[in-house]
Amino acid sequence: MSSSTKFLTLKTCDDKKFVLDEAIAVRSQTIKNMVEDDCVSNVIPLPNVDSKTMTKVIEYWKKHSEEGISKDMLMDFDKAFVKVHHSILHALILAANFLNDKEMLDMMCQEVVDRIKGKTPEEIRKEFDIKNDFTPEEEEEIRKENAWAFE
Amino acid sequence: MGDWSEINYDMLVLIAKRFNLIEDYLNFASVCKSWRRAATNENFNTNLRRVPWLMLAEEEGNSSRQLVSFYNGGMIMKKKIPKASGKRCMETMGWLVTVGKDEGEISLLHPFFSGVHIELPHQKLSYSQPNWRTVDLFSQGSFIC
Repeated sequence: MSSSTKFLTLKTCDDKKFVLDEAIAVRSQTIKNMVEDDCVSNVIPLPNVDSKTMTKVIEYWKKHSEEGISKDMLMDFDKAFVKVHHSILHALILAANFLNDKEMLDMMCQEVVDRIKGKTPEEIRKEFDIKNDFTPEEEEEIRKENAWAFE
Repeated sequence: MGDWSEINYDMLVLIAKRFNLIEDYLNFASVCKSWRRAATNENFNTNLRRVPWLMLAEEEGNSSRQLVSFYNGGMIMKKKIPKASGKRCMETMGWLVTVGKDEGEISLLHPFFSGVHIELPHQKLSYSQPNWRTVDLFSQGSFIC
């Protein structure tokens, strides 16, 4: 590591601080813009991200910044990384969006899609703890609209 | 805990645009009101690569045809295509050409739009045997894009 390594301090919404190599933190386009615009004084506040989520994000950033790591190892890491409870997946998507890390956001959205594939609406609701807010009439309407694909 | 029905619209659109199969997309759209708002016709990404389906030969006593996808780990979809029942099927640009038992009755139908069926003028059998051999190659199954 060169002597010019700079560290940034990130502060999550629950007041936890994370000290991180700037070269890693700038995987976040949001942080990168702040650094480039010289808006960074001491601490970068992340008002939309909690510490539990940020720990996961940093774990991902560090792994993806490791020197000499093979593609296969990264793929295995990513596969395991997304296997989390849907509430964590939810928090990670919002964090990736706020931090503007497109690669991570794409991966998270793909995981949502993979969890939906091949499931019925009721099974999807169960998977993501979603309430069915359609009236029986609306459901019937949807069923009729979709009939062409499912009969 | 995060509520998936309240996740913002832009995120839902990002998710919506990743579906390859229309069936998955329609199920996604049927989950709740907020998801349905994101699942517009425009947001179904028609630019994604589609992999053909292999339509298997008809099983006796079963009105559903089995379609095997080469995408999604060989997923099998059962689909009722009553108008194709008991007929030879060939594929042309995503449509099925069906030939009836009397070899003259020909029609075009779309396997995924059950109402779409076009009867073509009845053909008297006028092909020579070699031509029919080509057709026989396809009578076991058809690829549908």
